[in-house]
Amino acid sequence: MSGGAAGRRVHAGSLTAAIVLGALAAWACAEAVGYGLWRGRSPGEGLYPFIAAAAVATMALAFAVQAVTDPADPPREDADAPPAWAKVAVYLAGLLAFGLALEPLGWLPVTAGVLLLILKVAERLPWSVSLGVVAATVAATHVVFERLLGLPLPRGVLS
Amino acid sequence: MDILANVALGFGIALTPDNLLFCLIGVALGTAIGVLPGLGPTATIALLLPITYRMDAVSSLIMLSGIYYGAMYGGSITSILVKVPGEGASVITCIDGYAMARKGRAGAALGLSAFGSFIAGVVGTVGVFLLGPALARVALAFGPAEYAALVVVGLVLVTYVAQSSMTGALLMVALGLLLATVGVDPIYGSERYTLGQLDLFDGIQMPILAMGLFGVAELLAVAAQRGGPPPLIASPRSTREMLPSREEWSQSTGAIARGTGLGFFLGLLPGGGALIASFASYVIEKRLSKHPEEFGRGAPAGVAGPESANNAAAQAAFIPLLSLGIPANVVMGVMMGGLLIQGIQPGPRLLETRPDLYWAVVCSMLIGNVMLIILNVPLISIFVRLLRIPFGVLSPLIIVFCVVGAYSLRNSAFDVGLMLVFGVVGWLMRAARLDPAPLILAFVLGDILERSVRQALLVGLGSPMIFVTRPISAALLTLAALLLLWPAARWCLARRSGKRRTGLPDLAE
Repeated sequence: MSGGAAGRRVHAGSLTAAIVLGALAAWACAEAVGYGLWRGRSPGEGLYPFIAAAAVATMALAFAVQAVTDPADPPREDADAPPAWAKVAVYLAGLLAFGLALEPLGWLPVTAGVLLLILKVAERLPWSVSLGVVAATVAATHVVFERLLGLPLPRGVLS
Repeated sequence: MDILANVALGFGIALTPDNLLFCLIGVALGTAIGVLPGLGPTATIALLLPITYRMDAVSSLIMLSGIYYGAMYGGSITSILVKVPGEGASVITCIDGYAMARKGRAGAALGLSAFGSFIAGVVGTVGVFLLGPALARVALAFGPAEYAALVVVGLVLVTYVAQSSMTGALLMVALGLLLATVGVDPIYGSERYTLGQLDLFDGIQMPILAMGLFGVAELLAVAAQRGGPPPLIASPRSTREMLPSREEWSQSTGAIARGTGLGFFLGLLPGGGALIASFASYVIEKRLSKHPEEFGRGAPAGVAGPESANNAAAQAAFIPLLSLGIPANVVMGVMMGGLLIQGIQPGPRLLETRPDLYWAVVCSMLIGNVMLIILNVPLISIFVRLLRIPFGVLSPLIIVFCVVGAYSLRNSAFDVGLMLVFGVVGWLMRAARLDPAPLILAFVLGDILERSVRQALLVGLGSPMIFVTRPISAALLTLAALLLLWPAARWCLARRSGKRRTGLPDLAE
């Protein structure tokens, strides 16, 4: 998280966020100018986004300065334990599957697949527990959302 | 005497078996809907409107209003248990409610939320009895310039609730305001920052942002911890242990009283009244507390105050609708649509033409609040047991419910993807020492601010002087400036008196 030299440590996470948000704000400012800042005697559609984007840019700059000048957080007690990247990767894969496959494949297969992936691979639960949770969740969401509340969940391949 | 006669008329209608049943259905449905992330009271009321066409106007409004304040309470349950806020006003509850849950005090947090909401609901309803029609005129004194100034005060208060530095909080406020501009321009109708995506024409939906930045981000953060989440401290065994202790009550009584008053008066104002009330209450409690350092780590007053404020505001929001025909928020707008379909025109003449409807609905709120507490207190132990489910099983279930909630908003897989993107962003924000709460609160207020500023400038023929020449607006802007400058002034004074500090002052302190 933190790097830097002798005595003063730069908070790398904060600095990176400030740079990313500064770049985003610069793009947003340019777009806002394109929308038009003023129309006759009234503000145009770009004025308010321009002010908001300029505020983001200004505060990103101040945040970058703070990341450099402020001492970074002291190392945490659990700093020896690195994050469980493999587990996070499985969760992210599951989220990605939801985002990409929900409509083409449908609610049922995607939910069952993602749940099984997380329960079995990330959480390493036994097959019996994983399959039980998957069956109960799919059945409960079908009953509550589709039957009781009448929400149309994507059918996908099952349609 | 008039009030007593009207109240008697109202209770006479609200206590009929049919109306009691509709009230019960409303609050039960509202609580259930509030618990489910994403599906808020607006969507539920809109879904149920066709059912109410054939119902009696009084019964339908009793049921719909029950859904509204039931959902306000239900929304806090997921905020406390799993840090997934269903409503903007529940975002604040996430901070200390979730921290209390992690300390094994989930039951106490739920209890404070339930009793605080009940007291606020009852006091709010009595306020509607006594002051409703007279207070409604206060809202008329607020034009676009005054709303813009009020939202500016709200945005400054947002920086006070942040768990990060003032710079970080202001950065998040600015980003929230920028994200609120995504979509079609409210006045000219041209698209902004939509990247050609049809799904972005209506802008980013608040529940998508909240579920992503809080719920999904929290799951990723816990998943990243080696060895899983820290175990709950002092897991309660009996129902008595689950409820708030005497000490927690004593810390919360004042917060409930102040939150109720604040919520009631801010709830009268159209726009973000309930939201501003909830975090203004949080800021006030933190300022008044003898232990402000406890806020953010599970302070009972940090749950009781905002929850009372948002529930009192929910009751007060009925005053401008019924007395003036002005919907104070989107839910009230949908309800107004339901009344118009029934051939009832809400407004100043409603009290003369349909006193039965006005007073029956107001009295039903009192009954509904009693039903809510009877319904929810026994459920606290069940909700708390949910936390005993191992995280490995609970986390994918939360993801599934968030995905359903996101999809059900507009039947769009794009919203699901967007929520997941915000989840990853929220997780990365932790590494950057950025707090998502100011972003979400500013996002909700951003739309109101833009509309108000632009309308005010149109009224003022493009001159920004309109904001300082109108007395209420000028007073509110002065208050905002003082609130913004106060921490810096305090920091300067502290330095002058020899206290040495590094970096910018931390407003969260």
